[in-house]
Amino acid sequence: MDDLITEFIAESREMLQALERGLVAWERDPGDRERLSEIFRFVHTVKGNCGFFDLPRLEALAHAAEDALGDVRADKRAIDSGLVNAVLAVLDRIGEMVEAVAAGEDISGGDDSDLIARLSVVEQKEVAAQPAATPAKAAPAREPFRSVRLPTSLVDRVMSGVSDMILVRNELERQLRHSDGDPALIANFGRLSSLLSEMQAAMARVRMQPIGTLFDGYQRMIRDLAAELGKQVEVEIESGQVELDREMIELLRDPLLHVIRNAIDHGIEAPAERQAAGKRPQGRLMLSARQTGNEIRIAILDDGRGIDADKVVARAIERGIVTAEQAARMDAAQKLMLICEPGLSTAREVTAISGRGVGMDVVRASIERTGGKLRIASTPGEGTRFLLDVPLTLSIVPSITVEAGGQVFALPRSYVREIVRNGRDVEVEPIGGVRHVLVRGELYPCLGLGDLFGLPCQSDPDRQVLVMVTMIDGSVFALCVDDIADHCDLVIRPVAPQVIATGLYVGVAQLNDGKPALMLDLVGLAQLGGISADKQARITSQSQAAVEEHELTQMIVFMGFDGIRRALPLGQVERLIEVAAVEIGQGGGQAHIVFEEAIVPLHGLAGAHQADSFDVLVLTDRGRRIAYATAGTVDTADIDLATVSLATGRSLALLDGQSIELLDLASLDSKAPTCRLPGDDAWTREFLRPLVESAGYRVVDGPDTADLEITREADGSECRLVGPSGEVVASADAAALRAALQTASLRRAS
Amino acid sequence: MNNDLLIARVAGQRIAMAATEVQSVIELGEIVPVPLAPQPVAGLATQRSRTLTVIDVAQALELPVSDGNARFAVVVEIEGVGYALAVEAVENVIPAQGEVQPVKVKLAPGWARSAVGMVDTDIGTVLQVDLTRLVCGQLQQKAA
Repeated sequence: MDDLITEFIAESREMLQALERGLVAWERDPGDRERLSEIFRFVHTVKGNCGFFDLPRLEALAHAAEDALGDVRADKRAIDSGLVNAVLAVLDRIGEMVEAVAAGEDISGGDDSDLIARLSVVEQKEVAAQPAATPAKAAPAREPFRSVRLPTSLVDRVMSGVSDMILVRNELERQLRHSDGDPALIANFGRLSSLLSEMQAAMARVRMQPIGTLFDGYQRMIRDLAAELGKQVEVEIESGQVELDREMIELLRDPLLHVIRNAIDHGIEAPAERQAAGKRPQGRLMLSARQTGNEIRIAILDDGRGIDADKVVARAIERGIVTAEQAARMDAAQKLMLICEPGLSTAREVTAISGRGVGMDVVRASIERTGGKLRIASTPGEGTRFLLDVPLTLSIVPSITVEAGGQVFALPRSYVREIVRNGRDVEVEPIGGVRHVLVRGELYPCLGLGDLFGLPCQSDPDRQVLVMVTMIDGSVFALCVDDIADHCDLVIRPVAPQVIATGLYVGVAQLNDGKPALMLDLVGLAQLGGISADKQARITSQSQAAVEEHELTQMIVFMGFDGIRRALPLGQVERLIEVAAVEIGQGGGQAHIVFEEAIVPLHGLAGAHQADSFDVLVLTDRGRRIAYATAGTVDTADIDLATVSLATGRSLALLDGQSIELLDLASLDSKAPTCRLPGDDAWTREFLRPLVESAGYRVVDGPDTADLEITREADGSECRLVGPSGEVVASADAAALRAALQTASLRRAS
Repeated sequence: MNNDLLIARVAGQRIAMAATEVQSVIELGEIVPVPLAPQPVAGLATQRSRTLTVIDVAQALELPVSDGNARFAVVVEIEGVGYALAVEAVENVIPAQGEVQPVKVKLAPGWARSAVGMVDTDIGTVLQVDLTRLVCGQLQQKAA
């Protein structure tokens, strides 16, 4: 009997845990038949089992839920939020009772008529606002169920036992290969071998748990807590494929819980307050985990009211935690970290949720106990981010193993951008004594792993392999190795402090052949190789220029009579002609020439000295012809459009280290559509005006009628394009604005 | 109290270690070097699936280097990390006779760092070394 009830408890826990993930989704979409069926099956199973174990209270509750859900399934009853909340409450209650049974308590004394009554209430519009958590249930964050508990030491022993067996197997395999073994023996060995491999794979995961399960476990708590506080919280979870040691997950469970509670309780504002601040009524809470090199970074972000660092400091001074002088020397991050000092709480009122004795000091201590680090960043009014960096010790790290000087080293795959075989697409050139490689036009510093370590390495540079390593700051260097050995998942174990002290290794892993392989610390390696952050930054900017060289545009370059060098795309130039001075006509304040029996406006004469003839460029732009006089020296050049700057209100590009103006045909053409701009502030002058002009408009001011008028919201966030008859053509942010202007201009031209 | 001593030979000299701290004695197989690691780290070795950091005891005691004579290793665990203390030979485990006596002579620096004291045994008086100081001595000194 005891065995049976243990099984029942385990089964119920498992099913509840499996349900947990789906519940929040179901709440959002109660029409989801599949999830509904899952819940139905669960209460049905519980009901069936209870009859067997003589647990009438549990049975009655499960029965009531089964009836209600059965009606929904049979379409006899519509699902409404009241029922959803009631069902969630029933599941909570069942979970509590199962735990009570597990603890050997007598559960027959309780009363569930409240819940059963709620289940039978059909459609009450206002029920939705009522949180599922009843006040009697003091723990909204119900402990998630875990089905088996084992001492980690036992798991460790089993794991190392499996590893030992694998090593013996490998040895045996070598021996068998060298002997003329009996085929039957070899076949049996093959079976044993594959079984062992399976077991090893399973064991490797025993200690590991996807961090997603930890995050998912908070969903209900977040929902319940938000409901309790009358807040709306949208949760985003991004756990990737990150797996953490079970022990680590257990250590993080409570600190994370506390940080999340804080975010909802103190961070995210009530809907009304959010709307008043111009935010969406739903607060955003994001939980994410990412592996960065040798650390797992867990981030908890909210878009709430943020932490006011000055208030924190004021409180800390008031409580005597820091002196005013100390505080004055602190930077923003240090000030925020003061919330982790014991005895400091900035909450205006200590609520039942966050004021439960566990403070941020405990959170920080727990995280530091795991060898991790806590950082806080916050912008008042915009939100707070808590970043937890926990070490990957004991985590499984996707790795690449490389060979250098006959030795195998491992590096985390997350750092590796690509692997380049030296030779064809790579040129090696030393710059200032540091070896560099050119990979597809980009220049990178190159470190030889063998050279750094004083190991004899592959002498033929054509056969070397470059591992392109991306550092956290985005800079890239090439690590030259003899060969790539393998891609594999490695369990990284700590190494002796003497080895850590070199700053070159983060841990050690055992390879399939039983040999240890050191996991390289790529940051330390870069330092050893003399690649300082500064140098890397410089090289990065160089390499960017190198890439953009491929985006050069061929341009006509000429000198204007006003002494300004100008350029325009070769494609816009139709002809370069010589025009006698007498052929230039004047009329209406605008010079013109006759070209191919058409009158073409002539620009660029300002500052022109007396001459018999001029070199004139005939340009075409969207079907219009424009002539532009030059002071000679017409040439072609490749101009890098990436260097174009609009900062002065004119389009300037760089050519041979000097600025050159990109001729804007639209600004020459008096027939260009006109546009009136809002005001004359810096934003308009330096940002909007060049945009409008580059879209083919001529900017007018004064009382003239314009084809288009741009108006701007007082806060500058949004622009409206108003047509000549006052209709709103578009309203958008700047990027969309530009696109709209271009479309409008094209339409007018055609 | 068990005061058995493990007697090992390093660069021709006898040293004693507290046998209770010794987990096992292994024959050293392949040692994977750790490039740029400080002395006396000789590399990494494995004992089944466990990775051990090999400490060249002769180097730790600043004795003339044993040129790969170290064929055996005494496995110990210090602060959760497994070490293989490479020695020339492991002679025996014998009981100590009497208490550890303070060293009265001035020892060479390598010895001075690690020595616990002199102990009388059946085979004569031997110098007992402290394993933690033997393994971590140089590291701690550097840090200090």
